[in-house]
Amino acid sequence: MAISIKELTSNEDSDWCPGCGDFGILLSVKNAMIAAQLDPHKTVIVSGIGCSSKLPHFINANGVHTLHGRAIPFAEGIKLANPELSVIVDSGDGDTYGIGAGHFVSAGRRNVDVKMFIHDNGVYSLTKGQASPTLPEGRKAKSMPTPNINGALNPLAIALMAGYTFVARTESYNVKEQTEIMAKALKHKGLALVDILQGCPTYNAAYTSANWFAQHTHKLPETFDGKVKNPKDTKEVNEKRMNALGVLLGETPDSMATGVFFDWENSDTFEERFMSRGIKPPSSQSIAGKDNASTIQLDAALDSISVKD
Amino acid sequence: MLSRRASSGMMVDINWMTGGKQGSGIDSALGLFARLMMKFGYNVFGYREYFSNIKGMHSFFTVRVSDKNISSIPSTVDIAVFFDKESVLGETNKRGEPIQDGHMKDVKPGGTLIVDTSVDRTKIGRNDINVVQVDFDRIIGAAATKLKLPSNNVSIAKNIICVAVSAFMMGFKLEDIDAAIKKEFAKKPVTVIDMDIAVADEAFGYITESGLKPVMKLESRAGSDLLYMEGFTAAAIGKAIAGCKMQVYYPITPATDESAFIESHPEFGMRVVQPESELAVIAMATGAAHAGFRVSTSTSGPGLSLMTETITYAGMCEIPVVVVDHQRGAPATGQPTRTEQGDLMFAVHQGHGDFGRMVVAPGSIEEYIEVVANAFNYAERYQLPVIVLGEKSVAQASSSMPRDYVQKFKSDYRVDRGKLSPTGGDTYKRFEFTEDNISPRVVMGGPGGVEWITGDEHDEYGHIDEDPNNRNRMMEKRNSKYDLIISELKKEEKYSITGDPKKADLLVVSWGGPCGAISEAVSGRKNIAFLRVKVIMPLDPDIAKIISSAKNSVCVEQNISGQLRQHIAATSGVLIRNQILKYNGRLMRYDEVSAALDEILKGKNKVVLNGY
Repeated sequence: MAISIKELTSNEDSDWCPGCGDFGILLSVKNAMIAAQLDPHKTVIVSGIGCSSKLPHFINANGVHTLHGRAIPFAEGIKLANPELSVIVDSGDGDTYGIGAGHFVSAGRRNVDVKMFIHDNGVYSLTKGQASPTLPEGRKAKSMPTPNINGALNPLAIALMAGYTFVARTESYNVKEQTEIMAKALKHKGLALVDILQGCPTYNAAYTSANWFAQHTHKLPETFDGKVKNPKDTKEVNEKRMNALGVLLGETPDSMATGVFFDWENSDTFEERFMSRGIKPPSSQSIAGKDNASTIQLDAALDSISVKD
Repeated sequence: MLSRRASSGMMVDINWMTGGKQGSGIDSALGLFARLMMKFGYNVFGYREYFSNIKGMHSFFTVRVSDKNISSIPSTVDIAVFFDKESVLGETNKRGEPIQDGHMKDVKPGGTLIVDTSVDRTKIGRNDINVVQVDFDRIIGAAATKLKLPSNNVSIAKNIICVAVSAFMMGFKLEDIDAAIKKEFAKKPVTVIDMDIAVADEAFGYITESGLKPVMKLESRAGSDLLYMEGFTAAAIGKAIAGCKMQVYYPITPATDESAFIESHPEFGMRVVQPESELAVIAMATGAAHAGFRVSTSTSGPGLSLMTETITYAGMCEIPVVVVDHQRGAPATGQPTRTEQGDLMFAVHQGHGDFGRMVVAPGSIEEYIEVVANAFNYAERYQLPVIVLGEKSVAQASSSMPRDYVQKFKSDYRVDRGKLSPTGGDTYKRFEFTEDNISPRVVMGGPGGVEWITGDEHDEYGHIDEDPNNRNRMMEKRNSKYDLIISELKKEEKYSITGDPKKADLLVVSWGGPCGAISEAVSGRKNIAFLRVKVIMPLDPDIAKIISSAKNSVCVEQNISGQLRQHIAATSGVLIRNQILKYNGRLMRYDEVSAALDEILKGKNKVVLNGY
């Protein structure tokens, strides 16, 4: 069933500032959903709090706009309950790498089949431009009284070491590249991070304009190899991780690569771990029978606490 | 010497105690002894007191054995057994302050204290009790020699000696004890059976040789099909019956036992997930519940605190999530292994802002099954978060329960998912305004429509909306479910009464754990009526009317501030006159409650209990 951009567009008006990178991200998410042939009824977009997190309201798919920092565990819960749903986390850098950093790291231990599209503009825009966890030390966004006293973290490097199986970076004004990378992420089985360098024309124009990105980002070289060919070969997996980390460690805030850094599709998603233990998802179990009576079989549990010989 | 003959029709009501250093093997004595007594056809009620520690600190276990239905324990026991000196005589820390003051004082006059031969009898004093000395090390040494193991490796099985000697002293036949204990061992891993059997054999040999004489005359009797039920197990079974298919938890005492029990029963079909924090726990659970499935978590006070923001989200987005709080000593880390009812006001007011919620409280192990299973129906019918306030005094208590009780509850239970349908169609509005303030819910992913939710104030579609008129209507929708709940729930789901509150000299009001001790304390006292509250939020207005109609009233609670009393006063203007409180972390015993009720009847306004 082919869907169109129009069908994917909700009746809600967006309230982003003119020129905001989120518009490019919104269009790319819709493009990628079409490219990956997602059924909007079976797609859930989960967000946290911030400008970027309003995005689910603008797409005609199920939207779960949660709390600051909690998009990831909400998304994991939804996916574990019903693996037939395609679950996307679309949230901001403060949300994901700051207040939700614990969830961001721990998600890697589970490899739940959730895709994260993270708007990374270096600032908390909706609260008027404070430094986010990706703003480099010493940089001063427009409304900050003094330059950033905190350092920046590297979300891609963290994701690589935490266990993410797809790690990529793209840029909000480059809809073509974003669409391609997001579509790849959506087709990837397992936990995916797409960090999107995003323009904030209001609070961080100096370092996130389309022009600045054009000068300070470049595509990963053609020769770069981050794709694991034999998913069971741990040595190869780690070599590809090292390749990605090598690029990231060689970067500066003023020179960053875009593209897919790491791609390791394996059969060890959290869903498969549960299924291998015989625990089906809630969505494929019925809980009520005739007259809505409980269908649970208690005999084994009661036997285990019975004193009868 | 006590002499109680079960077969002569006399009531059997014997209390037993053991204890020792945590990790010394004594920890498993409670289960073994209780199950042995159940095999002999008696009802039991057991309780464990222990430190937040893995090895070395003092823990002790009390088991009440009776041929009637029992729901609590008294302060003193008929028979106690300890293999270490400290349990008997007490112990102090480096600064000379008492850690625990010894259990020799806990034996009733005329009772029996079984101790190791190394304990100096004169240090015990207590000429009013019967002290029996057993050479634990000799029994262990003999078993070790047979097993060709060092004695140290075998001493972990000293608990078996405690159980075997106790049962013998109570009058059970040695061959019956032998057979019953060995049947229990058969359920254990093969690696430990040999050692357990060797120690049991040596213990039986020692008993025969030593010329010990029983101090009671209990006999094995025909029993029904009994389950050894602990409160947390009951909570897990309640969830299974309700059709809960996912349990998300973060380790915390005393709640973890529930999740471990669920995980060890894959036939429940519950996905057990242990994520990185309680923040993640409640978000995962709320996400899965919103997707359309029955899901739960289990925690204690500190975990509930961390879950707060997301519970407000579940309220805002009308998501049916069930949270079980097995309360413990609070605030902060408080007393992780001790009991308290300190979270009532928190659960009732938890979070910023106003939203519809329910708070329910089981008052017994049986009610843990019932209240937890019903919580899922409430959550889905009224589309709100439901907090189940359990507590350590019930969660980690154990009792014999007829298998029939559980099976009957299950066959009577009906899954009520409220206004849930597979699809909402193209014009679906998740927060549609309706007469009863409950909007149709769908299982996410169904054909024909999509839905949005947001923690921002929203319109009927679930999109952000700051219009003041919409705000009024949505606030009223979320906060106006209470009349419906009160009118739909059956009286027995909300509260129960024994006695006649109008005629009685005193009406006792309580909730949760203390109810077991209270019901025994007021049993047979016609001048005292008892009102136990199960649905705390919303509180049925009839409760305040009943209290107002009583001549005199007392609220019994396991906290310092009288939280149910405050809650009743705040919601109805009715203040329960008197209070019996306990906040030292230890379970309420029925005899101390009974004595406190006497003081209230004599005119005292407030009694604080401090029993260990």
